[in-house]
Amino acid sequence: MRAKWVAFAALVLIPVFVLAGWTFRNAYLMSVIPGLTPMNPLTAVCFLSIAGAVFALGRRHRHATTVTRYVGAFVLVVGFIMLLKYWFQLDLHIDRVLFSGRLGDNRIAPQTAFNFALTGIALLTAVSKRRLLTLIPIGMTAFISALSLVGYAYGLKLLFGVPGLTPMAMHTAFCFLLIDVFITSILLLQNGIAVGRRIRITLILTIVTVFGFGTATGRIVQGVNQQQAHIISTYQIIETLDDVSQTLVDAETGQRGFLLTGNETYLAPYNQSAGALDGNIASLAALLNQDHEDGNAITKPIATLAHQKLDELSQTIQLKRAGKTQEALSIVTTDVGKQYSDEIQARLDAVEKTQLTELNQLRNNGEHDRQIALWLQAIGTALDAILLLGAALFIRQTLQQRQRAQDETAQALQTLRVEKNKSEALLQSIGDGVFAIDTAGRIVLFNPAAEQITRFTAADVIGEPYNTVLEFINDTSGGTVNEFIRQALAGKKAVMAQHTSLKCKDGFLVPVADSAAPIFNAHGKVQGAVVVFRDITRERQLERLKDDFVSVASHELRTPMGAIRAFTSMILAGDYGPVNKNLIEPLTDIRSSTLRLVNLVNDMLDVARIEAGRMKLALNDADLTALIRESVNALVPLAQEKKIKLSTSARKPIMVQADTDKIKQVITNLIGNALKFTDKGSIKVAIQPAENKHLVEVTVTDTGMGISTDNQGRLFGKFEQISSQQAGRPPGTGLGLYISREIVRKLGGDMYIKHSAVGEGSVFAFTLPLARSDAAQKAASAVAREAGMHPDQK
Amino acid sequence: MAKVLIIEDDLPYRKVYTRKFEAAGFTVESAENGVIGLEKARSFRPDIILTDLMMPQMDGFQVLDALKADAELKTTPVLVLSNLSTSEDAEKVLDKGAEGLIVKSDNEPQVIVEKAVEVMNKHR
Repeated sequence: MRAKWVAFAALVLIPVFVLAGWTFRNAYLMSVIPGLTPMNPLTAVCFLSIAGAVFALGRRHRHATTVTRYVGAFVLVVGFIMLLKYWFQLDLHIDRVLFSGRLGDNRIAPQTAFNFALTGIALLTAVSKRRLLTLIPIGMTAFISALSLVGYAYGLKLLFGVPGLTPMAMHTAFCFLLIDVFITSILLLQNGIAVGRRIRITLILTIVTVFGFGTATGRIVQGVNQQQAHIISTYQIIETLDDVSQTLVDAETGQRGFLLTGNETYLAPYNQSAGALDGNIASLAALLNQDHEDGNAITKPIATLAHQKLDELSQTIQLKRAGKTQEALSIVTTDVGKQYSDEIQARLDAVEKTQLTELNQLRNNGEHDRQIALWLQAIGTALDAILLLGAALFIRQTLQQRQRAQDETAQALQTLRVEKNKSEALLQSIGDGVFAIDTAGRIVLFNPAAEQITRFTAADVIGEPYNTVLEFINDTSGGTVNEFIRQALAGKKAVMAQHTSLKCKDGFLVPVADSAAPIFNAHGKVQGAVVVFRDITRERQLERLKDDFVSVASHELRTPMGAIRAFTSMILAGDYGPVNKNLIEPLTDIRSSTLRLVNLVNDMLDVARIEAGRMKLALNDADLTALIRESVNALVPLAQEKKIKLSTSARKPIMVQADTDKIKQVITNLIGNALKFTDKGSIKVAIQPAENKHLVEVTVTDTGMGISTDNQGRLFGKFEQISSQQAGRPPGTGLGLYISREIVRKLGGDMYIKHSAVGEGSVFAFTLPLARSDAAQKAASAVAREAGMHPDQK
Repeated sequence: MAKVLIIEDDLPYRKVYTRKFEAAGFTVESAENGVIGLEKARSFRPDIILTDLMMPQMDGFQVLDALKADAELKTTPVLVLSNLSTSEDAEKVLDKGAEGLIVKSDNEPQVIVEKAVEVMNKHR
């Protein structure tokens, strides 16, 4: 935070100081170090305006976008106009408007112009939709500025300037870097990009690459520069070698002229050379020293030889002056001088040769280094571009991920809102009472229907433990049955509490159908329970009404039918006097029709009871053999009428669990059916063990007409009668088998056709649970459960 | 001659049962509801009473209660004749002291007479 403000202060103060420098002609303020390139006043103004835009952006000022757009456009235009000058020599001198009298040759550098153009683009992109693209111009600016700083660090003008043109000022490069850092951080911050490891590493790598490659390039360029200096000094050495040899030649030329003419004027070159020789040798030694060679060691023998040569020359000159021309010439002809000269030349040549070799090598090396520097720069730039692109991609990816997450969250919230509204509307309008409790059992929700049923208001009960307010009571036992709510709180789903009433305000009891279900949170942990209950007062009334209707209807039907039956029977029995013979047949028909009607009503009443689950079964342990014998005996007279042998093989008592009346009804029904469809032969009733060891099987075997396979399937349906109308057989109601099977099923057994084929007779069978068997217990509890469902029926 | 009181609101049944019992040699009195039936029971002193269940003013259950509450009549056997046939109804009349419930539509008048004779013989 503090670093940010220091950096921002620097970004503002540097241009301010520069402008002050221009105002007060202070070189320190203009160029930091006098002699270095000063910052152009327009550059300073541009930086100040960029600082303003950055500040507005960072603070999310309401005019930030507008300000940034104007500043961006301004800077872009400045950069562009300056680039026009460098590219197309179209100089508009905009950088020379401010402080025009004091600028000297100061201009905005081409790199600076390019950077401004890039920064302008960056600012404009930063407030556009594709703001992430900002990173590209920013990266380029940063690279150029960093290179400049590296250039300053190694004194390499090539990195911060273009030969012949104003170089970029050091503090300009610094300001650009600051701006880049600011814009990047604002960009990341405002896009909420938590700079992840990948992005951070990529950015750091970028910086390392910029400075690393910049430094490497700088070092190589520096080396090349040093070699350049070396080459120059080598040239100087070679030149000096020439000077030395030329000096001696000049001295000899002067001596020869004097010896031949005796004219002193010819001695001028000799005198000059003799005077210059030491100086030339000294500078040769100095140059060689500079070139890291032992100059004195090399030059000393040369100097000695040169002096010997000069002595020889001086001797001949003295002899000539003394008039001993012959002697002087004889010295010359001894060739001593030539020997000296040759030796000197040989030594000088040796030195020159070394130097030339060195020069060649230096030239080759320089070429090589320049190549490397070029490659390094190219690779550095490429790497940098790749890294920046990578960073941009990573940031983009982060952004997209975040956007996706945001979208998902927004969608989830929206769904949640919609769901919440829906469920609230549902809870408010639903006819069922609903209340919800937390894990501690405190009521947290109580809907209007619940208020209406219980007569409590939500305000009365919210926050109260449910069992202090509401009590679910078992209708039969009168005990509290809040257990199902506790089960729901324990995480068991949809526990249905049966035949209960809810004790409401002032102890008022309302019959309810209720259920409770646990509420789970996202992690599958129970958060509470929701209890739904419905006022079933009306259902119960309706049920009673329906029940009453069936019994009333059957009663009202039976009354006249019973009377008709009684009258016809009595007339036929002669209770009203002798009956006209012609009337006996129609009266008999009336009687049988009436009987049929009575049976039909009875059967329909049974069906109605079965289907309403109101068939009352009185379960007892009973001797099945006795029941069968009783039923068989009752029907033997009827069988005898048809000359059919009806018998049972049952002898030993077998205890079953059954309703004796109902079982008699079932056996009678089966034997009755057998009688109806058998014209001759026998009907046998037998008891045998069933496949299931808990059951016993009763079979009724006849020698009647039999039932086709097709018809067997429909036989147990309601109102199904097989050909009963044919052959003058007494018509049935078509309900007997259905009722019989329902009865044995409720008793825990079943009924089926064991065997039947047309013309072969039939074997009908039913099973019953043996007394005290598992099947018996199961049947008993099922019967009890069904009886419990209608506790109101007394 | 044995005396029978038939309490029955339905005229055809009254007529047919009266005729049947008379044919069987009974002295028959009949009443069309429970209130009259109780009066006649006190005055007529029948050997057996046959009563319907569903009747106006006073139903068969109330008649039974009244008869069993009457010190002089409580020993008179009562057979209930009804077209109500549920096991609950049957249990209820037995609880109230009747000898049994006969479903009218399911039984011939002759069967009823036989049953009445059987009950009377048991009580003699």
